This record gives sequence, C-alpha cells and structure tokens, in this order.
Amino acid sequence: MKVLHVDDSKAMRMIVQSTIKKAGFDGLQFVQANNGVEALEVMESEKPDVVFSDWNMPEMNGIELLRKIREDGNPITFGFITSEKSPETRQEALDAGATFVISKPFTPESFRLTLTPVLS
Amino acid sequence: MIASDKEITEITLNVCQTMLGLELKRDDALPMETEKPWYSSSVCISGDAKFTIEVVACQDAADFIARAMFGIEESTPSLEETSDALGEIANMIGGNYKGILGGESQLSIPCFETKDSGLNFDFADHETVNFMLETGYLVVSCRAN
Repeated sequence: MKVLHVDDSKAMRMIVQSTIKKAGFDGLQFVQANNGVEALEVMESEKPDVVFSDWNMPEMNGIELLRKIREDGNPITFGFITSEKSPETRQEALDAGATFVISKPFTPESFRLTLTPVLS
Repeated sequence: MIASDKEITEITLNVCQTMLGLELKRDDALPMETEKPWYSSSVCISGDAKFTIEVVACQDAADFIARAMFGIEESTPSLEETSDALGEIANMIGGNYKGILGGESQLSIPCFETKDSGLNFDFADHETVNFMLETGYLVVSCRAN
C-alpha cells in the first residue's frame, strides 16, 4: 500500500513513519510532500492509496488540501495527524471527508487502534 | 484566559515524554546565562482566543531535543533540524492548548529565531514555566495578544 505523508516538518514525518512501524504496520511505501500544493503534484505522479496529512502547513494547509481533493471528485482515504485537537477541528475534518484524525502527541497504540480498519 | 502554570506543565511534559521519551523536570529558578545562543519557536493562536505560545531553549537543550526527534546519536544537529524540532514542540503545545480553549480559532505555523541570552527575555505578563532537560533549560510561556 502506498501512503502519501504530507507534513512541512521533516522531523515529524520521521516520527510518524517510525511510530507506524512500531504499531506493526509493515510493508507500507511512503511518498512525501511538504504542503498541500506539493501533495497534489505527488498524488498525480504517485497515485497513492491513502493520504496522511498535517493540518497547519504553508502554501496550502491540510483542510484546504482535503477539500480540493474532494472537489476534484477523488474519494481517496484521507486522515489527519495533527496537534489540532479541539472538537470543532475534528468535526470540520470529518465534515470535509476525512476518515480519521490522530492527535499529537500520539503513541503506537493510538495508531494501531485508528489505522487497523484503514490499512487492513 | 492565559494558560495556567498547571496547564503549561501538563501539556509540555505530555508532549515531550509521549513523543520523544524526554524526561523534563520543573525548575523554578531563572534560566542561567550561557555563552551559547538560545533558540525560540513560537506559535500564535488567533480567532476567538488570541495567545502566543513560545518555547525557548538554550542551544544544548535545543540540540538534545533535535537529536531525540531526528534520532541523531553522534553528529550535531543542523540549525535547520533544531528549528524544525523546536517548531514541532511549539506546534504541539500550542495545538494542545488551543484544544483546551475550544471555540473558533486558528494556529499559526511556528516562527523560529535565535536569541543571544536566556536572561533577556521579557517574561512580564506571561505565564512562564521553566523546565530542566538533561542538557539545559527549556522555557515555555503563554501570553495574551
């Protein structure tokens, strides 16, 4: 399965991907983008199966990216991994078509619980 | 209302321990002067609530955090890596505090800067909590805008 991981922080991309491995999800192929604009380009070239995105990013943030993807008629599974954890933000994400929201700080267990139905 | 001492402490300890396995200790003494630079990363909450969350670390503490975040064991982190790591700490603390506040508000992208001293910060009108890492000071503050 090919995962597009969108985050402007290289450090966070490393931590997220390491935590996903610790959670027991092997065999995922990650492609990366620094923001929503780059993500749209990578989606075109790499055709990922699922998108994990940060919320706050320069150029185009995560919720703008999700809305653009849905406007384009793409039903790809999309989830947020974000420090945004208010109920309002979570609802905004789900209303826009997100499948899940994982809040930072996270643990391998929180990834396991949330991603098992998504990646299996 | 400005984040309380207790809120800042709980959020910071949770972020650093859960994500990075770092053991921080509260230290109520003022940060010591060092010859090395200090680094700051801040995020702004705007909208219904208006606050700035700032994370300041002496160079040794900032390098320690960057090493933990990037899994660097031997070499010294680059300034870009230190900026990235400190920015993510500020982002997570700000995001968690925004979650406590509720309402309609936005969180900015982290702003990084280098400072000459740990003693020149104007902490007046801030709620500020000092922490001690293995290698130096980490200071987290919240101020209303």
